[in-house]
Amino acid sequence: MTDKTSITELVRDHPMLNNPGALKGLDALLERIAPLLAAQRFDNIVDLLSAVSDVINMADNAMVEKLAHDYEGLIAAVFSLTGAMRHASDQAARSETLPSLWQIIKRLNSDEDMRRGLLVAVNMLALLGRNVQRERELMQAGD
Amino acid sequence: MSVKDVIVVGGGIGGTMTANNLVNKLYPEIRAGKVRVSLISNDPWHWYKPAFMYVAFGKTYKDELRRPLHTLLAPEVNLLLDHVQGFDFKASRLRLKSGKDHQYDYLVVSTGCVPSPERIPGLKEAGDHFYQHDPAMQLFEKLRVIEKGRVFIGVTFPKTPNVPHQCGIAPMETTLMLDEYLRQRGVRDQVEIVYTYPTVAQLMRNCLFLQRPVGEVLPSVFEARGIKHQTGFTLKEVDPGRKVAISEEGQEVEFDVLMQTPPIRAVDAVLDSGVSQAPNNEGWLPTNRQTLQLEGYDNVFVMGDTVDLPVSKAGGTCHNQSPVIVNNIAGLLRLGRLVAEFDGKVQAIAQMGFSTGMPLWYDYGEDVMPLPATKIGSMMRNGFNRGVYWGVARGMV
Repeated sequence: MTDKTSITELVRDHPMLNNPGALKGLDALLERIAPLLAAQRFDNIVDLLSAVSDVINMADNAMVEKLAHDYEGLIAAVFSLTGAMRHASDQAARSETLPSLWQIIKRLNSDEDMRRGLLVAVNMLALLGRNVQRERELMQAGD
Repeated sequence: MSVKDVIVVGGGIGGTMTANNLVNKLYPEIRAGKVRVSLISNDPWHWYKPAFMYVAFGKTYKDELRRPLHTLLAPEVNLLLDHVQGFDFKASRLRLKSGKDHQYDYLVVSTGCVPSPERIPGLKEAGDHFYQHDPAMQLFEKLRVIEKGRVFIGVTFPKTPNVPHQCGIAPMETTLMLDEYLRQRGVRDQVEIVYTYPTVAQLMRNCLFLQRPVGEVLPSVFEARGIKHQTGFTLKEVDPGRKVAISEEGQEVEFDVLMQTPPIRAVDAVLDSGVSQAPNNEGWLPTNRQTLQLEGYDNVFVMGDTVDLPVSKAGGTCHNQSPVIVNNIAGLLRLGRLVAEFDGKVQAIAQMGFSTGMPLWYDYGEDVMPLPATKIGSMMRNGFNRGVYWGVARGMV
């Protein structure tokens, strides 16, 4: 604990501030801050700092874990989709002659990976459709 | 047109991010069919190893710490699930368990290290550690029931001069976590915690940490929590029958739980390569501290735990080594010369108990500067553990 009784005394005797470099820097900083103080431009900044501090106080490990989990889900999807898109685009660009629609359908039928990918897309559509159907039922039921 | 083969060995954090970074850096050549990037791993899973220490306190589960390796790799990475049995650096060839040989133009060795408690008599039988999942679970089973007695904590350094043990900060982190865990269980008053450090710790002697600034603040950190601490305890052997740890300095200490950072060594294939000059059959590969090339082999790069450098054997090191290696391989391919140098930078967030954390960084020139541990630091670490890590592994962060 300090034995100083005023800010002036504290600043005057503080060992870290008692050198020409620190005083020069402080002087320059005060010069820039003074008009902002006069115009009350710091009010929102102080409120923002207070709000950020409140959020940190309220946050706990469970909240951080949920946010981190969401982050991973997001970046995993971005990584997977952008990687697949880049790779697939290059493969398509390298094809000298484009396959006919019938050849593409034939490939779809013979390539197990492709059919599984198609199944993923179909399953996703089914989930989206189920959600829309439930929404529709709620709307039809009214209040 | 011959395809240049770039092979990464190891599916840990170093190997995974480097394979992805190579694809991103060399994409024009890959698209043109001039370069192929492969990753060889003997495990279809990628494990987040630094979080095994949380397992020892029941704070995380196995499936939260692993992901299928292929989901972390770009589609252009040719993943080979096989076991490298031999490195023939002179012939630029790998011998695999499946019987196949693989020639490479450029090789990245990221094979990690192996905790080897069996190298200290009695340690495997009576000691515990948290550097692998199953041993960490075994430690948890002891810590969750201990009611009274002594948890004795020790650290074993490699015999290779100026090479650290795995994750330098981990013994300190787990000591503080242990203190908090036992307080939560309500048994801390009956359980004595004794943190010890060996006489020789890289370039330091008779200290509590491998870098002076942190070593100097540790006594006050421990004393504030009632943790006893002692320098000059280099574990020589353990008597499992009497539950006594015996030091090279001639001291014998009884324990109820011995939480010992064990000896480590390189993987068998690296040990058997005959290239290592490390004593005690530890197997660290002689690595150029700037270019990260294997000494004497310009087309081989080494990273992570396998190097013989005075940098932390930790993921935060790989994160800074990976871009150097990737840029150097690109430089050799495109310009015929090296273009990047590693400055020894390592960064991490130390878990100082469960509720506070301390961001830290250092490099070849500067030691870690200890900062106040904060709640925000702990939240950053938790966020990293639970989400950001998987972006790092994918080379996205």
